[in-house]
Amino acid sequence: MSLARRYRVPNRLRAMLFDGGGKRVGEALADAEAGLSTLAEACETTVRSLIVEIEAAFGPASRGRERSNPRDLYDLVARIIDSSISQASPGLIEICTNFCDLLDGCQEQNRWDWPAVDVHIAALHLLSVDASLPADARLRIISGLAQLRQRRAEAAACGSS
Amino acid sequence: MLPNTRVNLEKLEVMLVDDNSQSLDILAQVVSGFGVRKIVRCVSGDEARSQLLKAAYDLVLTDAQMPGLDGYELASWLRHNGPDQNRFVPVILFAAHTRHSDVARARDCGANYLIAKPVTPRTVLERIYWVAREDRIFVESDTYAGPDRRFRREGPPPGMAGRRSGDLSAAVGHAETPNLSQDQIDSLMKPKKVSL
Repeated sequence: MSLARRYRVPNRLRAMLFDGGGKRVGEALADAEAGLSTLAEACETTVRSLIVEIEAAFGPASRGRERSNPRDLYDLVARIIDSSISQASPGLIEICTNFCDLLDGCQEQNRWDWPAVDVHIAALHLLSVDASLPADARLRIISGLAQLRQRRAEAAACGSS
Repeated sequence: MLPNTRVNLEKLEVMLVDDNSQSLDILAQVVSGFGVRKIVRCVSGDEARSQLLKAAYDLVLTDAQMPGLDGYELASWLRHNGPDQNRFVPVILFAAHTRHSDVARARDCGANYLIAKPVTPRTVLERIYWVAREDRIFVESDTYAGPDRRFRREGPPPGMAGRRSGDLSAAVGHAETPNLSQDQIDSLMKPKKVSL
């Protein structure tokens, strides 16, 4: 049995953070948001180019996608989240998270679910090209994808039992 | 964390680690906005490790999923084999996709917190604030080194007996003393002059 040692360590962060001076929390958050807004355009460009890359390599029209690895698509979708600033495009992150869950499942089962992949790619495309898409339409897309994920999870549970 | 609370991050030496340069820019903008002046940016876990061997840092913010040495392994290395000046440095992980297994891995590698991307200034500042405020014991064993993973002290799950002496009982039971009156509460909360 391993023996655990428990001890206190000096909290350097505390000593500095509450040292007096500095900024008020509201001011610090506003400054950080202002800094982020300078990156918004570059981030949007990256996100759009990633979606184009995903469509080209994994969309219905791409050749040889059956031979590709779900991990490669997973990495591209995760990079969209990496390069996003929150609330840049409402709903985009939820779709990407759902997509990552789906691709995780594909990797585990070692087989693609192309209809599900296609519907996620179409949703990404729609959100990226139509900034004026109303909030309720975005919500319907997200809830549709969530239902799809739920059905897949239930089917996987039935298959494994 | 109230909007009027004052925080001073000016003297902090912060290390940012991410293989995605844009993600690194986002994080750098956020911490600069907080007032941090000394920021060291690393594009891989390996680069971060070599930097951590050279100088002391007050905070490490690292992506969890990176090629080569990832954020989980970096935190684990720091806790088990890191140099003395950085062994206990707070580590906050970031992940684009937070699977259940990733959350468990983050908890078990010795990191202080895991934040889901996309990064928001509020979440980052809140976690830094939490690390500064909390008083977690450091635990070291053959299989784990890092801040105590059971720090919330919410007691054992219903129907389970506690395993440590400080565990709260799951049953709340009846109040043993009458509730405080509003006057008593006010007298405890009201600021008072202190005569020196």
